[in-house]
Amino acid sequence: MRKLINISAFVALVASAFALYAITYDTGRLTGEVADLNARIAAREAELAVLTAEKANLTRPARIDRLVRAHLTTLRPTAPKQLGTIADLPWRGDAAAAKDAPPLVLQP
Amino acid sequence: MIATRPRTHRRRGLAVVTLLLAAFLTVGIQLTRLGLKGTTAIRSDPVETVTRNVARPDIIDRNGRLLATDIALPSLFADPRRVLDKDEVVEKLAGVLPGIDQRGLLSGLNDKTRRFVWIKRGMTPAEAAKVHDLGLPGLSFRDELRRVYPAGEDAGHVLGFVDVDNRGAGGIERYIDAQNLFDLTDGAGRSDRPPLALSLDLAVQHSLHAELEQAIGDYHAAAAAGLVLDVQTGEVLADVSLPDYAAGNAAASLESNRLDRIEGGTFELGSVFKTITLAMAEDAGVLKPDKTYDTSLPLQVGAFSIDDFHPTRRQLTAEEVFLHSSNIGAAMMAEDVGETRMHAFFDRLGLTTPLTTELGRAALPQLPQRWGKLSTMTMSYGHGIAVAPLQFAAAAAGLVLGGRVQPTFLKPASSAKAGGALVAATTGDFLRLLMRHNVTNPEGTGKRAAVPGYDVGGKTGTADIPGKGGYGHQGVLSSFLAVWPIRQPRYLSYIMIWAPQATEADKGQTAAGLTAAPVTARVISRISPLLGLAPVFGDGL
Repeated sequence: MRKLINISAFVALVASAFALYAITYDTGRLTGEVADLNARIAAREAELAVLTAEKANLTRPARIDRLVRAHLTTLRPTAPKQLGTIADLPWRGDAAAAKDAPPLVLQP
Repeated sequence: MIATRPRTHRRRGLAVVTLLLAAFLTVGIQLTRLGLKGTTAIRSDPVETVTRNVARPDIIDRNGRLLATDIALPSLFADPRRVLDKDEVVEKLAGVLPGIDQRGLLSGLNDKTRRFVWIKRGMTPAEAAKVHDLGLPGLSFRDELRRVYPAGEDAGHVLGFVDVDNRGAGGIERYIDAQNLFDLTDGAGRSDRPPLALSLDLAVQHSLHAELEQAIGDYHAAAAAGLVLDVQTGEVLADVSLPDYAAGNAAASLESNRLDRIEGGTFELGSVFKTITLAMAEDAGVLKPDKTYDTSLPLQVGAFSIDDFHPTRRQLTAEEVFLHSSNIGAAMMAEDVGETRMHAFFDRLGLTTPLTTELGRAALPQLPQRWGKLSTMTMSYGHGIAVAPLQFAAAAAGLVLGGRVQPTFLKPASSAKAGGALVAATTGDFLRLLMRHNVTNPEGTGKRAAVPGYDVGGKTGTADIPGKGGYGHQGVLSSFLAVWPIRQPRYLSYIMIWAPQATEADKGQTAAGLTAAPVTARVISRISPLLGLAPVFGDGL
C-alpha cells in the first residue's frame, strides 16, 4: 500500500515537473511574442506620426493657397455675396418668379 | 552509542521531519507568492541612458488641425575610444553630411576622457542610411523625438520653438514646459497625453497672414500685424506679426525686426484710443445731448498745442468728434472727465497693469510718469501712452461687450462668458453705434472698412512713429479697430501697418482710413465665411 502511494506520488511529481516546464517555456515564448508585437506597434505608431505630420504639411492652407494661385487662377476666396440659405432660392414650381429672378452667375 | 534508547530515537526523527517540513513549506510559500505576484523579471539596462527623451503633446488648432507633433528621427553619436581613424571618420562624414562642424567634431573625438560625442541630432532616415553605409566603427544611432511644425509658417510667434533637447523655449511651447505637460521617456516613444488645443483657427490665421503680406507689398510698409479676437470668450483666433519666422526657427526669432508686435512690444496707437475716450466720457456722464466742442482753433495747453489731423474748424458734436477723429474734441472730453476718473477708468480696463497670457507676460504698458492735465489730454487720442496691441484689443473688446475680456490662446473647454461688469450696457451700445456710424457715414474715417453683408463698426488710428529727433521722421503707424457684427459683437480685429508708403490712388495719403481700413475690409470679408458667419444683406443699421 505504502509502496503504491510512493510510486504514484513520484509519478505525479515528475508529471507536474514536466507540466511546469512546459508552461514556463510557453510563457517565455509568449512574452517574446508580446515584446515583438509591442515593438512593431511602436514602429507603426512612429510611421503613423510621420504620415500624419506629412498630411498636415501637405494640406496646410499656405500651400493650398500657393497652389491655387499658381494653377487655378480663376478661383478666389469665398466672398460674402456668394453665401446664401435655402430660403434665398426661388421655388422651383414658381416658374414666373424663377424667370424674373436674375440668373445665378458665379462671380469671376 | 548507536544503540541508544528508542525514545530519543523517535524524538530526533520527529525533529528532522519537522525541520524538513518547515523548509519545504517556506519554499512552497515563496513559490506561491512569486507565482501570484507575476512579474518578477529582473530589469537590467545594458547601456546606461545617455539622455532622456522629452515627449511633448501634439498641438492642434481649434478645429483639430495639426500644428505641432513629435516624430522619431535617428541621431548620430560616436564613442571616441572605439573610433579607429578619427580623420577618416570626420572626412567621410563631411562627405555625406554637408554643413557638419568638422573642427568641433575632431576635437570631440580626440578627447580621450569622453565616451559619448553627438555628431548630428535629428537627421532624416535617408541621411542615416548613407552614414550607415559608410560602415565606420564607433558610430551608433539613437532614435530621438524631434518637434516638427507641419503648418508652422503661418503661426511662428504663437507656436514658438523648442531647443535641441526638445524642451520648449518660446511661444506656446514654453507654456507646455511651464505647465509640465511633457513626459520624460527612455525610448523615442511619443507622448500619450491628449493634444493641446489652441484658440487659433488655422484657416483664419493663414488668411490674416496672407492679407497682411499683401498689405506690406501694396503699401511698401516696414511691418504689419493683426489679431482677431472672439469677443465673447477672449479666444485669439488669429495672431500675426510680420516680419515673422516659421515655428521652430529659434535663430530667426532673435532678430529684432521679427519681434512679436502683438504682445512683445508697446506702441503709441493714436486715434483708436478715442474709442476708449468716448466710452469713458459717456460712462462718466459728461456727454450732454446738445454739447458741442469748438475745434476752430488748436488747443493750447501750456507750451503745447493740440491740433487735428484733418481740421474741420467748427463746432463738433460728440459723434462728429469721433467721425472726424478730432484730437481737440477728444482732449476736451478727457479734460471734462478729469485726471482721477480717467486713471480709474484705465485701471478698470486693465490698461495700467501687466497683461499675462499663455505666451507669457505682454510688454509692460508705458504710462506717463505723472497723470497731469497734459498727459490726460494727449492720452485721449492715444499719445503719451504705449501699450501692447493685444492689451488694447482686450480693453476695446471689454468696452463693446460691457465686461472684462481676458485674451487666451487656448481653446476653453466651455465658452466661458467674460466676467466682471466694466461699463454700463448703455455705454457699450453707445460705443457700438458710434463705431458703426464711423463706417456707414460718408464722412466717417472708417468708410473703407465697410463689407457688404456684415455690419462692421470701427475706428482708425494714425500715429506718428517716435524716433530719433522726435516724431514725424519715421512715418506713421496706421491701424484699424473693427468689431462685427456690430449688433451682437462676435469678433474684433485690430490691424496695424507700420510706415505705409502712399500709393498713386490715394493721392499721397497714408492715413489709416486709406490703408488699415481697406485691409480690414478684405480680412473681414475673407474670414467671416470661414468662421461660419452668415452675411445679412439689405438690412442696414
